[in-house]
Amino acid sequence: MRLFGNFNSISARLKLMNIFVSGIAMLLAFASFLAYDMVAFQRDLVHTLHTETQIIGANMVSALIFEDHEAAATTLSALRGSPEVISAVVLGMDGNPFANYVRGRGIPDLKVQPMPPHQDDAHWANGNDLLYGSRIVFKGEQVGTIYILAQTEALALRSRHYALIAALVLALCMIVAVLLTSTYRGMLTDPLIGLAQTAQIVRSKKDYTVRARVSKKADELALLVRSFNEMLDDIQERDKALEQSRADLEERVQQRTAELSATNKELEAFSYTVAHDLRGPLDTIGNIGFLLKEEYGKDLDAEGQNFINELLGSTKKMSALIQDLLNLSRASRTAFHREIVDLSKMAGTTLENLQGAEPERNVQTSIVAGAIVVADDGLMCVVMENLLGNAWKYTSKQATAKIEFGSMELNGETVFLVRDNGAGFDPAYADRLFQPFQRLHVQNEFPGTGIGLATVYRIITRHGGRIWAEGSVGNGATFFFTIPYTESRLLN
Amino acid sequence: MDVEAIAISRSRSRARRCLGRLIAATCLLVSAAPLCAQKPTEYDIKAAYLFNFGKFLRVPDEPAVSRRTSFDICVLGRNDFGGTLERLTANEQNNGLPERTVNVASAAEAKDCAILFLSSSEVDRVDGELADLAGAPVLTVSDMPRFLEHGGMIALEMQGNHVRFSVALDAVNRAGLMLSSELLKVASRVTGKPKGDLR
Repeated sequence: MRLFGNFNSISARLKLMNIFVSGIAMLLAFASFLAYDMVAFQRDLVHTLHTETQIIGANMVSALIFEDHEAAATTLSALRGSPEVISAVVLGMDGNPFANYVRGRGIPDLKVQPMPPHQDDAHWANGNDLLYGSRIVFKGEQVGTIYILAQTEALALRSRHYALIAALVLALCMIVAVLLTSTYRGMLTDPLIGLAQTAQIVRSKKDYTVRARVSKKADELALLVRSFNEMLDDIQERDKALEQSRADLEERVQQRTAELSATNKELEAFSYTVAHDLRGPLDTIGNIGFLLKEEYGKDLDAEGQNFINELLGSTKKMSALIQDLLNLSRASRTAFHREIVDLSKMAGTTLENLQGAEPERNVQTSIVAGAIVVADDGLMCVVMENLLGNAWKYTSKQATAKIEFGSMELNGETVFLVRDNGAGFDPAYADRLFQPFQRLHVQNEFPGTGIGLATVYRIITRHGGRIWAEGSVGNGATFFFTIPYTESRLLN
Repeated sequence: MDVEAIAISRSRSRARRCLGRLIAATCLLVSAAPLCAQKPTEYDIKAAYLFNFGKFLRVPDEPAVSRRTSFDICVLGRNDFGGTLERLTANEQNNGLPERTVNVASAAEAKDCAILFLSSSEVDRVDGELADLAGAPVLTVSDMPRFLEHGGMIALEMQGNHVRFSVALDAVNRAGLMLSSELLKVASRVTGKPKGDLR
């Protein structure tokens, strides 16, 4: 087992903190004990020395007065019982040494300090030793002075003992702190670690169903864990509501789409039926008109012949309109089969047909080779006929008409274009070009039904492509379109 | 050491008035004192001893003693002190009583003395004089030879250059006096036993 484990973990930090705090407390306690002890020791020593000088001084009086050096030395030698006393000296009134005491051999004579005035006792620090001086007073008069030099070695010894004890207790403290940490772990770090792990799972797996374990205690940690769990509850609930509303929305959209497409289908079926059913009577009207003109035309005056021509023209126009309507409806309704379509070839055929219908026109055509798409052949034919037919129609007033079918790469996709130098259009109305029955030119100038570009738009969008136009009045127009091709679309 | 002596003599205000006496006493006791021009004589030292014995003397609590109005150090016979004793006792007090030096003509006159010094001139009359003082609380001191055998209390003796003293405790006890054990400690010889315990 490592002592501290990962230092980034809370339990290791707690352990460290524990040891640190207890260590500091121990050291402070020992320092203060030691300081107190030193002061107390010094004080005790001074007190002891005071007592000793008093006793010895009192016993020294007669020896001093009657000048008995021997008795003085005997009295002084009583200090042998005090191991801390190194040496002592008694001065007579003349200031000369009267009696001496040294604990052992080799100890130098005592160097005394003058007693401060107005004081009967005084002490001085003498290196590591303490010098204590006291006046010997008998019946109110000073008869001599006694000095005692005591060593404080015991103090140093005591400090060393204290340091040793401090080190031992510190080590013990450390061990206890390490042992206690496992208890702390249960109280403090385990809930936190559990919380952190739960948060990790929630974050990484987005799983809001997990919950952190709540301890039975009613402390802040339990509160934190409980709050975290409640937060998860809220999130989960909100998630569920969101999911529900999304499902609702999707369902509603599907419903609406279904309704819409049903309505559309009905509408288209209706228009197809109408167009188809209108065609029969119209053909009859056309045929009868034609017969009338052929059989009885010569019997009619000029005005009557005009009426019949007008009738036939309108019939033709209406037939074309019905054909276009059927195309438009077919563009949406007919089954959709993608296959490989050569647009270049299709453009060539279409332009040949147009030239064949109006052989007197002089039109310069340019067709890019190899414009291959994967699309519905019939629908693409309608697209090419409409776009090239428009170009043919709107260049009819040009002396030298130019029609181009080309392709280019734009942002990684192939864009096909049909360009002419015809009448063009006002770009302000560009968005109306592809709406049914919207015409930018008057009927007399360029006849048309206004359905062709709408049909083209529908076919292109049905292929998933886009179509747009650029141009200006008198400077021709260019129609761009894309037919996206992907494997998946081909398979569809 | 001179500094010490000067410091002491300078510092102690309560001792200031006694400065002169202190110096005198010191001069008497210690021959090497720098303030003294000449060495103290034998009788200078004996006078100091007499004066100091008073400090170690405890007198009994009896009417003969409590009647005293002064602490008298008396000299019977030829006065060899030459004024030293007068100088020492001047302005001194013992147990609240002023000290005096008194010359007495007879032992009967000396009954109110605290300390009586019998001069060596009295060597022939000493027995009678001590008999006159029998029972009186007077500390008898003399430097005459065999003083203790005559019934004296403290005998001053010369040992080489030093003045020493011997004490006869039986005589002291008989007079109802007590001497401090401190004094006995420095006595060269002590005969007899202390009265009772050494309270």
